[in-house]
Amino acid sequence: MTTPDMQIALPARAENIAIVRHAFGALEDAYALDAQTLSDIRLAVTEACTNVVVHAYPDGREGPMEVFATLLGDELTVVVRDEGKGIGPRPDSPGLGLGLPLIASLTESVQLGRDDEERTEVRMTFSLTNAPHRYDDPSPEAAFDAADTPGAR
Amino acid sequence: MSEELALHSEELAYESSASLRLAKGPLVGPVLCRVVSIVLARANCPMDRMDDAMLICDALSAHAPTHSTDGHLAFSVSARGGQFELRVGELAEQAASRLVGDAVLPGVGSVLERMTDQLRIEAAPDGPGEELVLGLSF
Repeated sequence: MTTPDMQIALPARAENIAIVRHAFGALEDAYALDAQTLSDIRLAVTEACTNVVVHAYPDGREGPMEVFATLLGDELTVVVRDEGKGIGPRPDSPGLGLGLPLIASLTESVQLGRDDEERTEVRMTFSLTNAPHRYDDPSPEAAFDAADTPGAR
Repeated sequence: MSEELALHSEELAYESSASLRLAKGPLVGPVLCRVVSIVLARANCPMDRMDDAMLICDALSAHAPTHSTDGHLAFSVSARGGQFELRVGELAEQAASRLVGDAVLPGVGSVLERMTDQLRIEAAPDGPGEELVLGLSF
């Protein structure tokens, strides 16, 4: 398994999402990414981190949020990991349930799952050469259709 | 800044911390500088000390990668109560003092010694190697 180029570990608090977002801006400095690609990456990573903060640790419990970025050739893989309760339907979700469809629209691929130690992972890949498919169908209805379960993370 | 605004911004100061592990390469400098700057900004660090911290980050990103044990560097950043601490880990044996010596500017001396209020070398908490611990007061 390839060792990530960047790992960030933080408490899963709302204010720490900004640190992750700011750190990902370094991709532009380091690899001269174009503004649109960088914006897509940052938005998707922000959404994934927001899901961790809002949903992973209920009842005010605090837990870790880890972000890993690995660049292989022209493909960037970003994994957002937490030790929370996992991804599932949440009827009482405070959000609109648009996070995952938005991530899907900004990435080449997205996988939700658990690692060997049962930690929840959102694994996103981005092509650094091809524009993602975000403009295929930009309507809000398409985003809603892409959500399997209303209120899902 | 008015007294009211100053009071308000003081109330908004956050204690923050972050851990980073970065592969040797072009990401080290930009990521370290960005994370340190946002952690310090949220702790209401004044600009002159922020400048000092950026010089420290530049020195570390220029010289620390040559002293890593396995091609990666670990950084731990925290700011609370007017104190900033930056730990540089995954350094080889004896590498921390060499790193301090490498970061020398003509007429200035070691940037890491001049800009910090605390500098100490500790054994790595897990396994061989060392950690360089830098402290800044603001």
